[in-house]
Amino acid sequence: MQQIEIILLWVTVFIYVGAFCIQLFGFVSQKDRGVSIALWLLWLGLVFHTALGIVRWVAGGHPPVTDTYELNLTGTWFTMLIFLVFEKMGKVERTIALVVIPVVFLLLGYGYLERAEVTPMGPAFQSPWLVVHVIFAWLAFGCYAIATGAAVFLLLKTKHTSWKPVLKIPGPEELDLAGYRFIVLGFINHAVMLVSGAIWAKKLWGHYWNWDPLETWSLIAFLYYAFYLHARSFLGWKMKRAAWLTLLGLLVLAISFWGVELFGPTVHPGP
Amino acid sequence: MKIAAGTLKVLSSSKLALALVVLLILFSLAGALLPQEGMFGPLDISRWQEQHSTITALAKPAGFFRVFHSIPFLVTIFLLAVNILTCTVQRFIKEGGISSLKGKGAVCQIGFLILHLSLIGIFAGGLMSVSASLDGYILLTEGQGIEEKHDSYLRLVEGPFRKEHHRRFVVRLKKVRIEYQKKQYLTGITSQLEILENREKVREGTVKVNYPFTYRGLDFTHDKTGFSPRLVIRERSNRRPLVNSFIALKTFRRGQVEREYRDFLPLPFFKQKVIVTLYPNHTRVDGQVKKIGEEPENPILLVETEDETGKKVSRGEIPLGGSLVLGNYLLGFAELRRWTSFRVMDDPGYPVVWIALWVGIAGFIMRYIPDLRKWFGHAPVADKVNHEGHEEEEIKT
Repeated sequence: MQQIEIILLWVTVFIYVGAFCIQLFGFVSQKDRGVSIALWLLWLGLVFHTALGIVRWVAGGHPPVTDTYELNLTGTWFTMLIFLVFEKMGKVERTIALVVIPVVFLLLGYGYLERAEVTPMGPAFQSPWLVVHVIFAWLAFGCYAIATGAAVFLLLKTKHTSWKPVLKIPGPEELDLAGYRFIVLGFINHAVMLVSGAIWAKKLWGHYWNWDPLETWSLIAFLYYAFYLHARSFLGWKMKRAAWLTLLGLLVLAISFWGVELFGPTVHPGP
Repeated sequence: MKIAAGTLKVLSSSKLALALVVLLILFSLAGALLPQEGMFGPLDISRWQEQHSTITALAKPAGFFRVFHSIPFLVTIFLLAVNILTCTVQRFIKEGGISSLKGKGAVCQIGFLILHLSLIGIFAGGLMSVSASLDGYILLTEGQGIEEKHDSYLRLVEGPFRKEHHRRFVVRLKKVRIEYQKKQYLTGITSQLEILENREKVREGTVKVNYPFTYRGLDFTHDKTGFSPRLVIRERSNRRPLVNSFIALKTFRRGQVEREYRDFLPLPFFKQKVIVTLYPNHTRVDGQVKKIGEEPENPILLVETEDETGKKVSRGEIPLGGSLVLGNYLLGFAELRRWTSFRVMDDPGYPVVWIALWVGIAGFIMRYIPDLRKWFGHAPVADKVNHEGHEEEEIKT
């Protein structure tokens, strides 16, 4: 890892952590100014995050998507970008950043611990499907992470109805609807990720579906969110039930992204 | 009549759909957590089963070590396909049939239909893949040609509805080219193939990782690669050759870049187990052989013998063109070539799955985009603080 890369990584992490602390303070003390400063800091963090990605890209000579560190770097960039863009458009409650930021800096930290030296791109990665597959995987993850944020605040809002900080955030119905919408968005991206993965697998391994553990976990996560959408429609599982399903969904997703290798070998490069 | 109506009601129930999705999740969990036959070697599976005897006692009779080919899994898939079909048709009829495909909400309705019918297409394609495909592996050393027939495959799985017929052309591996960066990071593998029919060369092609070669419906996909030293074994007394053949050494990966080329020689006339390890490029440090690269620039074979207890008995080295005395035999290292293994597939289900996947994505977009468009057309959340209730009805999934 180059010196500049390490500096950029730590600056990015410190800005995100700082933004989290300021936002948490603003949320608890009900000071809107704190929340606004935190959002500006997040944009600044994203600038450094982007620079970090570019430095890695230049150093490796390929998009940073070939090992856990690079994938976490790219994935967290997408997650933060989706959140900030949707926040700017006014489509997501800014307080949800309190869930999104820890996800981002924890993943960055985990990637750093797993960091690999800059390596050339192996033959398996040299496919036009790589970019499609990875982008849609992380877009899906970002959307699901934001939906989880909405679910956390929905549960908080319904449990602590008189706690002053939560009074300012939107009503449970709005959080529920926002969570649902981000899951729909994530589900579409998830589907494109699976389809592009299947087409790539046909070219790479000869068969579009090999029941590799990582493929299978990805399918489990997809089926899980399909269950969420159908349970919502047919069984009327909304609000608290839907929120709990969303929280559990992130766990399933985390296993499919990072936990599969704990259970056994996989031919699919991780996460 | 009543029974048929009752069965149809159960089969088209949305609760059955949810139950089947949960079942599929459970089967997939079993498939992801238990080592599956075909993905792992028999030895690895039996070792795992010895270590987890309680789980094995429950999972083995249920066929969970081959869960994706087990009857319960296939029945679940079949029931889900029937359920999706009946649900979709029933909902389509309930919502006005053809007339529901016009006017407001038509895009969403068409999307719903396309999405769910594409799932049936994926199941149908998957069924064709399982039942009528050819899936095999061949291994070729540079210069070697083999006829496309049953016995030429290292491993071959043919679907129950596939008629045993082979093309009987000859596939020959001309050359394998491997590219490394900084002498250790593998960045490209290219295998040049030649096809012969009636001893005439009819086609040439290359197989690269991610870029298969197709001939007469058979896809040759790159699988693994390694080294094949030509070993000549003679009796020391009369120098009569007993073995003169290329031995494809197994390639073991150690970490991200390190590779080891090793195998044991099945020599029935030799009492001890002979293990050969190839160093494609080596140097000597304090008299010890040290590997310095993957390109075959200065190859050497390390030959070790073990007794029945696994204890090392002897150790020797053979440079390219040299030989080594091994008891009553003379082991020579005459030549070094590369081998490549290919996965050979003929899958009539893939085009069906491919079309269904893309149609499904189109259905997805049509089904959900109107829903999401409403979202983007709405006022920002900040303006709607303390708003009670949903502003719009979610469209049924």
